[in-house]
Amino acid sequence: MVFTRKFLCLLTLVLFLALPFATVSAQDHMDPATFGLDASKPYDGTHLDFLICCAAAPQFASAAFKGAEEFTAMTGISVSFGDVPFGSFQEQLYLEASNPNTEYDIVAYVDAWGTNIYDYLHPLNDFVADAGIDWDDYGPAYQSASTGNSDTIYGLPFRGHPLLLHYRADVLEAVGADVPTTWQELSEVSQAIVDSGMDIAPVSMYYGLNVDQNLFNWYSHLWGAGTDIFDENWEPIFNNEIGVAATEQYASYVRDGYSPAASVAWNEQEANQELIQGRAAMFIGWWWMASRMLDAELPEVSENAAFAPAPGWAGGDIASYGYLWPVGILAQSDDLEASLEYMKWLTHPLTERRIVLDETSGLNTNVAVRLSILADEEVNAAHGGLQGIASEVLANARTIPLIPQYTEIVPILAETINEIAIDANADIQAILDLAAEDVRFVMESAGYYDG
Amino acid sequence: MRKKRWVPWVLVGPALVVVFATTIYPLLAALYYSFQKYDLRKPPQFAVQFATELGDPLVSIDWSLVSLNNYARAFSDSRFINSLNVTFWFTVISVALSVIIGLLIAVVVQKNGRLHSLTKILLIFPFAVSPALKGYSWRYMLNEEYGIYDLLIDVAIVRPVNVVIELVNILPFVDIAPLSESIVWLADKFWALFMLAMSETWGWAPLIALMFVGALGSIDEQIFEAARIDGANNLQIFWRVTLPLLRPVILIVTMLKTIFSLKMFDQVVTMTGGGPVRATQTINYYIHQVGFVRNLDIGYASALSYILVVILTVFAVLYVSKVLNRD
Repeated sequence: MVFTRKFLCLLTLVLFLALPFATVSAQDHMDPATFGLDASKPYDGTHLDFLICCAAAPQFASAAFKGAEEFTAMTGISVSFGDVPFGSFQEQLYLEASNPNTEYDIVAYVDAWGTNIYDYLHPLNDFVADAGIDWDDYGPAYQSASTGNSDTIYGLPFRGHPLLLHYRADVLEAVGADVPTTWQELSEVSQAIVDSGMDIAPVSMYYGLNVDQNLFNWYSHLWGAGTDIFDENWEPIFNNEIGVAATEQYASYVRDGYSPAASVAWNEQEANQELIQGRAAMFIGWWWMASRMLDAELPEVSENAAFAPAPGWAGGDIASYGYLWPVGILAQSDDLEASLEYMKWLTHPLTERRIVLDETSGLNTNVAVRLSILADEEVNAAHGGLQGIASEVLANARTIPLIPQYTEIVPILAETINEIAIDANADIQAILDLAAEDVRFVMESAGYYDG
Repeated sequence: MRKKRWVPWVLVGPALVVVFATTIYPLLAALYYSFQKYDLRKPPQFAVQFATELGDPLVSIDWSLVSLNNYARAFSDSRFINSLNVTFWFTVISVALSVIIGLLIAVVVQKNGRLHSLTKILLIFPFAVSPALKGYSWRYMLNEEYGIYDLLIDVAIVRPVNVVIELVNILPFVDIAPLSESIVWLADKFWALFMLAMSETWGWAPLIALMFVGALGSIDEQIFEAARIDGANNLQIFWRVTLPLLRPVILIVTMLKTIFSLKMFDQVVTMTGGGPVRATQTINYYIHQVGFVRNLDIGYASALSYILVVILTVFAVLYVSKVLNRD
């Protein structure tokens, strides 16, 4: 009894002493100094417009809406979000960026689209230096995507995605297979699933034409095998011997019957649905889709959801596309200084950490871009170690050629992959050669080979 | 009393302003851009002037930039030629199916009765569905894994035909290959275009049927009576009496549907993405890609748009003249 009383007194004392620290910690995110914001609120009353995609998606909703009121309370700057569906976002982005009278101050954009609006974005090099942003806290792929492989920082990493292998642990266990680490092993595991007679497609790929998604995994094959889209002189080389071998491997999943025949017309979402609805055992896609498998209605899917780095090339490299949404400021913004204040808050590690630890329904997301957050133990514990897997992938991730002409080249490549996929007897070398000619024509027209 | 000449202008004025702002100005601007090298990636000086000075845009034209290069380029652009070809076949299939199916529906529902009236009301619904949504719906309904249309086609067509083939194959020296039950509709170049046209027909045929119902209702019943007295059966009456009398309406409906088919865009985006390969890339879809997604070449996209405008104008003039003649 005496012991209990003493213990309670001690506990009360400890809690009492800890209270101020807890209060400070809880209030850090409301302290302008934490983010380097000007506490005198010089931009009080300023309103910013942020062009953002897909606000219903947790990865964007969490960043867009969470804490926006807190930022306003600290600075007096209000922010509204122009939510545009992904399907029409690219066009909206270009139109707003090129409009001298656009209402938008801040834009989030896909790395590949950024090359077309660089002339309309405010360079952020000075801001990064002045605000003390740790540039090395972003992986090489995200740095490249934010700068377009130049010295100018056009945007700061905002939402970023490594490619993961999403798989059913029970299926792999049933066939006694290890998690595939190479594309060749993926084929072997797929064959084992076929041989087992299980009523499930081994893998669900997406070769259809939809915002060029059929290229995501092709890049991994190409880079892993040891070739690329261009050589150092911007000559297309994806049709060389290695490129053909990589493309043959990429097409083999549907040609060998591992991926459903219909996958030649599927987009990423449709392929992912096969996994979620229990018709496929493996899927290679962005890590933000992990929550779909974890939240799947079918218990055999959700309870056996497992993730690993996207495979690499046997005896070759592991390299995949690190897909990034940078966030930048439009050069024509009338509220540049206020926009920079917002950027400080939006891209701050504390903001990113709070977002990724938020368990609010509809805002829960695993997406983080800073290496320090990806390595954070608490963050990893909250998401079953997904960030750790992402770090592993990002260590070898690359970005696509960030040149303005690439948006012209991408449909040529996407149609080429689609053509190879829909015809099981297609001559891959011949089709890639034709595509290389088309790509070369685009580059030549743009003056890449002059002199 | 003195006639106030300004009154009509005041009354029509607001409408004229709206028409100028939303139709005439964009048309003139696009015509101007079609002679320019206008890359959306670079801020064009004239665009800035248009937006900031509110002056007469025609005054600020730099005529040294004007050229026909964009138009010349179109006819050596294999992708544009492909889109012309795709649009032509899409138009032929969708117009033919819409008019024929529309006519058949009209013949079935033209009679008076409670069920027929309800059917006529329901007919407007497919047309009311947004084209983009139509595209998404058809994409999922044609999915080879779980699509309802795919299942219906298998159950209603493929399996019965295969039963017949199996029976026929019993005969000596006969070896007919059975039809595949696993056609990936949107991965086959012909079927993808056909299904795109079917999705359009699904929306338009009922509307066209309603137009035909109206036309059928205006035909004097005595003409049919006279044909019956002369001994014509229903089929003969349809071919020899109904169709000839409907010919003007069929012509008008065909031209109207042709104009809309030539402009096909939404379902391409949501249903096929222009694929497989380039098999469903219509002119409008290609123009959109050139202008706002891929090349960001507004000058070239404007020139392509004007080529489409010329094609559409031919049909529009025919349509309007036919309607006026009919009146």
